[in-house]
Amino acid sequence: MNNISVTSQWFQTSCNTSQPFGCNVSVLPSVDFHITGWNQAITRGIDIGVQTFNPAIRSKPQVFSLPIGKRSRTDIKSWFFVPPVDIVDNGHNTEKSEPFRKVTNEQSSDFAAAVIDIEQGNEQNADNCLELPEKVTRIQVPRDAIKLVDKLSYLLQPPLESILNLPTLELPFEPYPYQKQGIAFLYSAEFAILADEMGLGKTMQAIASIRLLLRTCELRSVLLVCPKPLVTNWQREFDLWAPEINVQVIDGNHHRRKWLWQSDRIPVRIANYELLHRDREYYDCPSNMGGTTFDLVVLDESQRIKNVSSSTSQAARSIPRKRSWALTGTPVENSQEDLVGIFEFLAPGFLQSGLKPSQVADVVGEHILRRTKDDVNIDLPERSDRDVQVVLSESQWSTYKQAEDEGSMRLNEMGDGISIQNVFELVMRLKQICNYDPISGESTKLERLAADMEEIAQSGRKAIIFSQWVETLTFLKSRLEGFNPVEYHGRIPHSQRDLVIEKFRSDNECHIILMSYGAGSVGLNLQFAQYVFLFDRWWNPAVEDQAIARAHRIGGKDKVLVTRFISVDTVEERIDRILREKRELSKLILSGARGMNDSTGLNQEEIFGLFNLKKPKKRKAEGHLMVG
Amino acid sequence: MSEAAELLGFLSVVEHVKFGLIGGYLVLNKAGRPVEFHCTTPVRTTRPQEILYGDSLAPFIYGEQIGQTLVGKSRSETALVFTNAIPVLALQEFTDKPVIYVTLSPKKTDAATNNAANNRETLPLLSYENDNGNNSGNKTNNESLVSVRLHNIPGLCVDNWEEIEIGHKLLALPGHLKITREQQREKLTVLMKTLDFLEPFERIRLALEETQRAA
Repeated sequence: MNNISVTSQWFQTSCNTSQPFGCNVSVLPSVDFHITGWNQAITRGIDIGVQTFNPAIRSKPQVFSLPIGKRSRTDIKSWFFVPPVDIVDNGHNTEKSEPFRKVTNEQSSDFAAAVIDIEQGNEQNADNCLELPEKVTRIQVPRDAIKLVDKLSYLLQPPLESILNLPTLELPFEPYPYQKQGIAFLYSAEFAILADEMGLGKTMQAIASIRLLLRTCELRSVLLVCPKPLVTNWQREFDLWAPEINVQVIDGNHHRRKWLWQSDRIPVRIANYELLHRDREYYDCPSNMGGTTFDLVVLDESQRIKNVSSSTSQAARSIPRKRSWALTGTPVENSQEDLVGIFEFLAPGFLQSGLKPSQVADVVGEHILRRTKDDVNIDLPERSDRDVQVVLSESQWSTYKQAEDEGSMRLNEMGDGISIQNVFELVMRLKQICNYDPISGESTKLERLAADMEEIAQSGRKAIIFSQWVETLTFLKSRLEGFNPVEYHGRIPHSQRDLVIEKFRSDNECHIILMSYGAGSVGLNLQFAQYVFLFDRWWNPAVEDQAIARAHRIGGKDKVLVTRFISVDTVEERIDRILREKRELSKLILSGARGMNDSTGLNQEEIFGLFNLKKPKKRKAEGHLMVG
Repeated sequence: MSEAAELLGFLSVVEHVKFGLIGGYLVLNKAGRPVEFHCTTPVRTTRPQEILYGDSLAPFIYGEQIGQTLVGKSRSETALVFTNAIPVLALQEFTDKPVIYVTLSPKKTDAATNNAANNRETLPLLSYENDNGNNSGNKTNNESLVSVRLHNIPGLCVDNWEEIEIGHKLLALPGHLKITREQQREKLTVLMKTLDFLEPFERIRLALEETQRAA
């Protein structure tokens, strides 16, 4: 019995469900109802379909083949790189590769010790050695990298922490995270400005980047240009942060200098700005005449080339080079034109004049890295600023008033023949009187300073006093002999300046260094001083900030107190007001803020306005003169 | 030292939520510098594959289809191949190089998980671990962390796995290697001194994101 019959009706079914398929299964009605109207309706016949299956009929099954095991084609894209080889790590630091000094055993001793510890099962040490930072700093992909292979070549590089972790790349201190970002920024930059606020370690970041690039032969010749007083500072910093790199200072007679400029065996050369102009024929010449193309030129304190028409700027721009970096804490000193000047060196034509500050920020944003001390979470010493209003003594005031009245009268009498220089002369004269009366020798500022210095010396601390005049510094030295002051300004020979700094640093009886803004405001590390006095004010706040940063920088432990002397009811008060306004300019451009006044520099109107004078008409030649 | 001894391979597979699985293979020198990078076009699994391969689908796709293809494409001989995805270990059947699974040891996993979550990239690339909710942070000890998971995955040809913990990394190596566990440990420790074995996988992820943007 192979048929299966399935019928069904309502109400009652009887089915032996335990029967397997292949036997008869009958579902038959068995109903007894009383005849009622409802029952008739209910028992009315219902059409029930019956289907019959015959298992005996074996239809040929259809087969579907699924390509499960078949290997689907997987396309591959491939990129191949030629990894840079660290010359020092690979033992190529031989006499043949002269650019590098020999690495001493001491420099790799820590690694050797670590390996030995690991081999000896010193788990604790091994754990310490192998604990890698959770946050890594990646080398930045330049915005102008377009090809995928170029982008990948940056993305696939190891993080900076791994590179800096190489046993032969010993660093004197662990860089701060923001400094690693700075290194990563410079490492891949064709042209860039590192514009960190003074005291955050621009020098160290530049040297570390140069060191990494030299070791992997991505650079072979680097020229560093800095102000002359900072040459020894750079040498010292290279010794500290890149001890295996040979650094040569370009100096000596012209034969020696020519050789130093044109040698292809010196990885890092340091030149000062003055030399650029003098030695231009040695580097700005065809290769068959000995000219060399530097892989990288770094300008320290690059605000020195902000004026594109200056000979220094022209000389810097003429250096044959592949990459260009600029270091400055004050990329915008007076106006955004300063930035245009620096970019003319970095990438000529990249930044045009006349853009609005917000547009400038958009254009250059990718190529400037600036962090302020507030931005970075580092352990800088606390800083307090105070403006000390001093009232001139009777004789000082008398001399001042006479000079101002006579000067103003002369200027008024000059009418349209007045020049900006005439006004400057008067301002300078008045500021000097505010410092001390040349007739009586009285100085209210000095009295206040001397009183402060008593306390400072008693507590064994040190102070830096800035003035723009050597005469003022000499005057102060004679009046502050009790504090054993030393002087650091333009009249101190370069050969003696390091000794001056060393005496100030190490002599416990030496409590004061008298510095001119010109000589001492940049590049020096004087973080062991806790007091900064601005005896008179410089023309722009950026230079003052630079000066203050000599003491208030990384490495300082104690609070730094900054004192600005301002003589009441004098030209100093008026200048102070303008300086405050100018301070905002730099912030606005570098932060890309909108809605700023396009010209807040100390322009002619403001200079004439110091004496309630109006700018004379028909003096086109002077244009928009900036004081910096 | 031969060239192979100086080169290390890192193989990872991520899942793009739209396009499917993408494999990346990075060859590094001992200083961690890139020598080669290969990536696959997205691989999609089919529904029949999912039904019929079942649990062994991931090892097939990750190890055989993607891993074998990538490693076969490489021009360089590497000493080892590291992976951060367990199914890639099925690659061991097709290569004589040791394929090593590397992950954070349990003591560091929680922090790393949080860190990874905070640093989530914008592109929808998922790792095998995250995608399968298998993150090792849920486990309580090394045994449950790797061994159980390895043994529970069908399709892996290697039965015996050696586990080594170095620093904050936990590594699972195929047990059939000829050198002893201590020798393995010593060699890997020296390598890890200059190269974090997990870090290159982040590079692969960044590179895969870039290639997807460019595609």
